[in-house]
Amino acid sequence: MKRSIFSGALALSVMLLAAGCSSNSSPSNSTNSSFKGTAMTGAGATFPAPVYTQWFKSFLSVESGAKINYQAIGSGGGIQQFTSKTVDFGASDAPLKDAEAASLSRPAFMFPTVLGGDVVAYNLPGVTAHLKLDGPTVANIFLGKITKWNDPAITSQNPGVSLPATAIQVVHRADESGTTFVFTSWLSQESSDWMSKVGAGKGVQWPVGTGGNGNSGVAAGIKQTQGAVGYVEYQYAVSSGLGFADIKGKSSSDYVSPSVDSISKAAGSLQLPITSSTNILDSTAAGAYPIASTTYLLIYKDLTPLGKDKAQTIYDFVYWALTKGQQEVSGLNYAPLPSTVAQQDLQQLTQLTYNGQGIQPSPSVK
Amino acid sequence: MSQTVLDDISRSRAPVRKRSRFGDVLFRRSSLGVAAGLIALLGLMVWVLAQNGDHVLAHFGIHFFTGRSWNPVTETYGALPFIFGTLVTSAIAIVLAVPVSVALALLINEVRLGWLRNPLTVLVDLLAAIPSVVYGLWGLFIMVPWFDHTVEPFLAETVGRIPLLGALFRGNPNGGDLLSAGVILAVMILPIVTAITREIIAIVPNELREAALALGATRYEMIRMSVLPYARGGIVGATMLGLGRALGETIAVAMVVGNGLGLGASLLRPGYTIPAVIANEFREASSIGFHRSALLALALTLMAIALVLAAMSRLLVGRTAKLLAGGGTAEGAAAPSAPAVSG
Amino acid sequence: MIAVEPSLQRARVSPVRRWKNRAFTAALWAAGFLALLPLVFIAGYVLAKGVRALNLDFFTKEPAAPGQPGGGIVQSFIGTGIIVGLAVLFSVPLGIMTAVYLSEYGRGRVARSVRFVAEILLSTPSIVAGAFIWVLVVVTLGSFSALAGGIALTVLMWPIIARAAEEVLRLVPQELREGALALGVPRWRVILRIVVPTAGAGIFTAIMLAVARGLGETAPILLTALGNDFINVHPTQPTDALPLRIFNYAQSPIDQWHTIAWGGAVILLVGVLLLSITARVLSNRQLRRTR
Repeated sequence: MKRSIFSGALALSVMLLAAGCSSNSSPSNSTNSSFKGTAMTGAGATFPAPVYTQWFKSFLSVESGAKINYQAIGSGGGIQQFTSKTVDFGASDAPLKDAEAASLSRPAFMFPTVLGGDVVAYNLPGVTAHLKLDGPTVANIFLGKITKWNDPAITSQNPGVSLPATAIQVVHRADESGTTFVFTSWLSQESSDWMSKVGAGKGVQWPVGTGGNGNSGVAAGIKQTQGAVGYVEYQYAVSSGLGFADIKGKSSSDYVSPSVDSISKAAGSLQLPITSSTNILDSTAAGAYPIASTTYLLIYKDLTPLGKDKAQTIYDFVYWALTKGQQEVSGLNYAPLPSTVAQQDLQQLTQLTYNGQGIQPSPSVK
Repeated sequence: MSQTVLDDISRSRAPVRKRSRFGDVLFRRSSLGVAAGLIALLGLMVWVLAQNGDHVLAHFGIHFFTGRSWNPVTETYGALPFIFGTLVTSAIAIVLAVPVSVALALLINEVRLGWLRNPLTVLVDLLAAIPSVVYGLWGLFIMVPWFDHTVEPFLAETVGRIPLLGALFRGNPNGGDLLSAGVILAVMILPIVTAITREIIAIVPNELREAALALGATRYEMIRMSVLPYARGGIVGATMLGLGRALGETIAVAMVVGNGLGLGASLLRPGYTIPAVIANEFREASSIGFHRSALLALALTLMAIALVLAAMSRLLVGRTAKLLAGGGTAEGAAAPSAPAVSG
Repeated sequence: MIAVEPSLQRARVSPVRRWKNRAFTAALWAAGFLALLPLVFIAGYVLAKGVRALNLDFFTKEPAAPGQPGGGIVQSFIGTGIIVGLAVLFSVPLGIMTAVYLSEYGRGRVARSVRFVAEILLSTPSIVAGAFIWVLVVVTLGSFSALAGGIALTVLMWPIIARAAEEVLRLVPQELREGALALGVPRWRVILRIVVPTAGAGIFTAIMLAVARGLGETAPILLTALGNDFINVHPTQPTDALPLRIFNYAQSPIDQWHTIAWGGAVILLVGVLLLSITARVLSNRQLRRTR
């Protein structure tokens, strides 16, 4: 009995391994029907995860075999796994630092895909209107200098709102995050105190607070604790039912409420190519949300190691996302790219190569 | 006795076909190879961790363990917050679990339970089978909110006011913290400490108990005189094994400890442990710079501590067992026959 | 072991001593109650909150978009099956052969070292095994994979099977071996065809204990299998697993995902508890048989 179990198990394992090894090389489309796409893996930012998840689902109806598995492990994770080449593409809202770009084994592009905003979200059941907060106040909250909600710094900006004496519980990111990078970059611009004590980065030494994993974890942390405050991408605040603040940045004439509209207004200065200092914070445009940000897909220029099917799939997906996909984003509280940026992006897309040649979008996505 | 007999038989010149002697040798060598493979596996693991962890240790030296600041973005790696959090949560777990475990072991072994004994034993062992992520899920949604709203404010109001001890219980009780992680760990190590303590208590010779009872001792006195003193070494060993388990527990702790990097006296603050930081940061740790090396160095440290604890535990438990078993036989021979008691 | 009620009525026991004894006994009972409370609470809450999530979609569909109703986690069940299946495939032969060496051939330094190493590996934190396999397999293969997850679990399950199976093999009566050898059966055949099958139920128990451990492990899977929102059967591609999905969903702000996490926890808990109880029942029966 034991022998037959062993031989059966051996046969099974041989079959499984054979199936695994052959999956990468067999084409998933026949020559004369349209390209169906193939399974791929990407990892990275949680900032755009809601819209990416929606996009991947919609894209399945364009290319039925394009099962794109996206794991939101944070921008830091996205950059790292992309650099180690353990995933097919990465995602990050922090642009690659010069050192990170230099450590890539071959050149890669950053493709902006969508616009979003970092909001200051809080859990205050009694407060229904948006709290008004300016840059220095937000910095002091996250520095731990303002410890109660009814602190004069907050109440003076919010006359008419009755704020409780609840303790402020800060929630920040435990993982390396593009959202953190954007938020701390903004805080560094708004408060010299923050700049000297903490600074900006995908991960910083938070003076106070608990850490959550991903935008999800922070939103969950805020939702679970009364009096909690944290920074999350706009969509997470909305879908979690959290209150969020109207922000007055140093370039704002008045408090700006985060919305698809105000985020769109911030995008004026965005242009390719993306560099390590690209950002759209504190835009001077009227009515622009001060903590707006774009997010990037990281894709290698030479897609030959991925194989023909994966190269075509990712090319088609990005093409579709930059054209038809943009129409789906505002329903999820993200802002579409300005058309000039989308055009530049598509232009950048044409530079991807496979076997030394350019790639053409499949008929199904044009 | 019997192993050598079997070896002699199989090696003898009995009419066994040559092919099967080859089969014997092959089989013996294969099983030795596989068993040695286990040693090779451990060796490989230690080597891989050491090789990769070496960079950060060579660069930071002892400051890796004493530094208070951990920031991968600025390439600063001081692991003290994690070491502190790991020690504190494990200490809480031990302080809470060991008394309960010993009492439980005594309950199961020394008190007449009848039909209750078996189910009780099984239920306690089942606690060990619950997956860590289920503990974490329950901890996150049920225990931590309860602690936040009820237990921790209560502690802050009462114990928090006492001058020195109170420093442990001050601060904002909201969210995950070291105390919550410590309590969950206590529940998780309870079964293993209980199981080993039970085994040790069972080995204490009955003659010692009978002697105490013959002198008119109550159960409490009997246990205090005849059981606990002899079981002490084994209980310490069991505690060490529990400690080892508590130190290495990752997922449940990561879900309730709060992931905060500060160092301070209060248990009501968010904290961090070595396994939790490895789990949270590993997938984003880059190999340029020291981040990945730092996490692997932490993993190696964890392994080293677990190894030392396992070895010490084995030594203590083994020595106690030998002491009790050996001593019992000698005294049993000399003791007068006591009235039979049911076991 | 003595479970005796010392007769305190007839003895001249002072009230203080009697009181101390009662208080002590009460404390012991309190400890028993205290120890069982978490088990009751955890099992109770998991069942109560998780049953709500269990419908047909839960077991047959892939996740819906966040916020959309419906969908399930079929890929987590399949993924767990593949990863644990691979782990069993690797660790059972390795564990049994190790146990055979320890019980049939092992004396002296090598056997003592193997046992010691097994104990060290048993107390190794699972996150360490995950980190080790990430460096060894994920980076080498160039991808997160079910295979890496299976190998990581093997590191944890191999020593469990080895130690538990060794205990069971030792219980097989020596007379059986001696009789077979006296009949001229080669040693390797004695072990494989007589000793091991006799210990069969016990070895099966050892495997069940190892599987119960492997099913519930999250940390090594986190670092080696990455996770997947789609069903994946290729062992060299990222795969989902039930504990991983529970871990991720629990830390999200989406209520529907919390419910699914509880549902996953119910399945996981029931599965692991059933395996543990069955293993225990079988091993008790085995012990009684060999006495």
